[in-house]
Amino acid sequence: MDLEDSKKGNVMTESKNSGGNSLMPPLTRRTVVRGAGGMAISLAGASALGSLFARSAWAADRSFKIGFVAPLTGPVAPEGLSMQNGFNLGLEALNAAGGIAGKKVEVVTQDTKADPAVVATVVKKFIQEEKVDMIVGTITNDEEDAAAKVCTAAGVPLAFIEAGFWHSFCNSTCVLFGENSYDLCAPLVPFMAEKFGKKFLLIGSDFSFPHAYLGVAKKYIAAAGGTVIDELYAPLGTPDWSSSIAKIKAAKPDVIFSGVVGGDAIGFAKQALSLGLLPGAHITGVMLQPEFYPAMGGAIDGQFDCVRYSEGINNPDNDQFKAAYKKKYGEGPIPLVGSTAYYAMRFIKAAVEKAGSYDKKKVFEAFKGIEAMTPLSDKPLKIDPTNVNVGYPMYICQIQPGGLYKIVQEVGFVKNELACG
Amino acid sequence: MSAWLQVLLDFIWVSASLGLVAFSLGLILGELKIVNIAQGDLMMVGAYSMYALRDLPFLVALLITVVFGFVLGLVLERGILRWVYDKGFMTTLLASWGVGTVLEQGVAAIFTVSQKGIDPPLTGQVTIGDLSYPTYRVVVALGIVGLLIGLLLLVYRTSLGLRLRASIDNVEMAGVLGISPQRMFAMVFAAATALAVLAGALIAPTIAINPTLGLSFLAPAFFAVLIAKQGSLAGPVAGAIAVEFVFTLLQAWLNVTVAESTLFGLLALFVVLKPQGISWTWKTARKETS
Repeated sequence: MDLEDSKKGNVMTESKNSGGNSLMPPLTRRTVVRGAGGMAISLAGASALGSLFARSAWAADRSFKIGFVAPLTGPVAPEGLSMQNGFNLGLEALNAAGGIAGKKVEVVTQDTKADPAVVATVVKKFIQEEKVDMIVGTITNDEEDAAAKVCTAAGVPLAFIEAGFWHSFCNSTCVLFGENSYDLCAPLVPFMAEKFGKKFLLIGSDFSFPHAYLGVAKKYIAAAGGTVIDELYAPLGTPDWSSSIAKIKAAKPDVIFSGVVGGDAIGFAKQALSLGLLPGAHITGVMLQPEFYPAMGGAIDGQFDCVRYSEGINNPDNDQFKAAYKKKYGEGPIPLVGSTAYYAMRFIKAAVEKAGSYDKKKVFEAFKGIEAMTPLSDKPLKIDPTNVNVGYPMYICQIQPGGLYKIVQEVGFVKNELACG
Repeated sequence: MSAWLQVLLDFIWVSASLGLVAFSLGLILGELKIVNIAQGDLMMVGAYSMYALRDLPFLVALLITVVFGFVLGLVLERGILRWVYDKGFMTTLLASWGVGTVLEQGVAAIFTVSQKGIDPPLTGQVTIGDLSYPTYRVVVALGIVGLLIGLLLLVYRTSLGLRLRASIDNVEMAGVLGISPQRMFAMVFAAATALAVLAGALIAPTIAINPTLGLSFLAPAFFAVLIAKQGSLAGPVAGAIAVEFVFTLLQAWLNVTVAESTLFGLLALFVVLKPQGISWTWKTARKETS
């Protein structure tokens, strides 16, 4: 229901939920029954949310308002829609537990088509006309840059959900919720080098993120004593990968480190399987994210990848999240960006309530060093006060047939080079 | 050795699939004098049709898809294009662009924009020396080659083909001689649509299916038609082979991005140096509007 509404760009409020305006509404059986139509909140999970909520010390006189911007159509729409799914689920859970500062959170949504010019226009409109308190969203780095410029100028806090940062957004009002390229590469390169060998071949989609991501990977390859035997790039939207696959087969690398993303990740994986490169070769990297798994037809079963979220993480919060997500959006692996958008709402709540006001500067400052519970861990996660990026314990997983990313090694927190000088 | 054999087999595969699309595009351009921008989107429709029918046996799904493509072509020609033939080159171009956009958005509305994939009906590998290659690609490539030979024989060796070529050469004169241009237009467009849909259906198991997949085939297919001799129906097929030959060679040495821009640069240069390809469509357009 929310998905449809928000697609049309309508204002989306959770006014349906009765009794939500009072501080800390007890989660009764009635709430659970009522929620059964949309999502199920287990009592255990609800009490966790409740305890989070108990820290609220003030009651605001109006709702906190978020502007959600995402590419819901266009080449990276799979990621954009996954983010929206997680965001809506997080919003429902937050509002069901009373919202922020005693008021339900209000959201306006608009599609950006992954076009930076559209992002800038939409964000400006949200700030000036909709008077939002915060912006959440964007997928590609071009979108991020466009949104960061507008929000920083207006002093509005901005939450990026998608992973992959390789530089910090210094002197801006950006809060980085995704895992960064160091998180993704640092544990994975030595693991692969030790397990399969030190000859790496890099392949990626030809735009800024894969170049930067593979650039970070190269540093760790050198540090691990490995060599890069070739580096291949193909434009987004490449239908035929035969030539790249032939080159990889001829080069015989120990490890293929792939930054091929979007629909191309699927095309590449399927063709690698039919042309006999997979399953024999060892491939890893962001190409193996769960977003892309269902359409790959088992091409990457048995491969290893480094992620910050796995459905195999064992705690009640994650069980509840998994059940709610699958109930609402169907089976299949939960996209990483969907899980991030879900619990990002908890950090936002914690920061706003710590700020004690909707003042934009105070809210942004409150994000620095704030902690929140997530389905990722029994312990709270923390936003680094310097680079304003959530620190993540990373996992190395092996992909099981059917799409479970089974944890084979807990890596813990990763040191990164995101710094403000 | 096996690396070069694989390059050769890849070349045959991409030439066959592009050849089919280029043939259908050349058919429409030759007979209807329309630059059909929607051709790539018709391929996309074929791929989605196979996805929608993925639970049926492959050949049954393929048959339904081709029949659906033929009917879709008839509907598009009778319902939209025939009203704009006499409105000039630009109008038909925009009309076909509009059709393509509607198809893309319509498919996105039905299937969502997220990537889809279907499994090939043949999963085995053909072994040649020390190289193994997917059976599906070999069978489909051979099938397309056979189909194209059959179609060209139909065009050049039968009375139906004679009437088609007469209509392409001079539609008014053919009309005087009893070849109804309207029926010919409708049948050619429907057949060409069915071929484009077939091409999309056949490559569907080897790619990621999304609403914009047709775009990446459109530009090479147009160049294949442009570098061919005007009005020739074998020409676009030869053009497709030439385009893919150059592209395959470039890709063997360069990164795909660089290879692609070099390819289109070379093709543009070719069209500038050998402008018959463009000038005749331009003249035709002028003749149509006057």
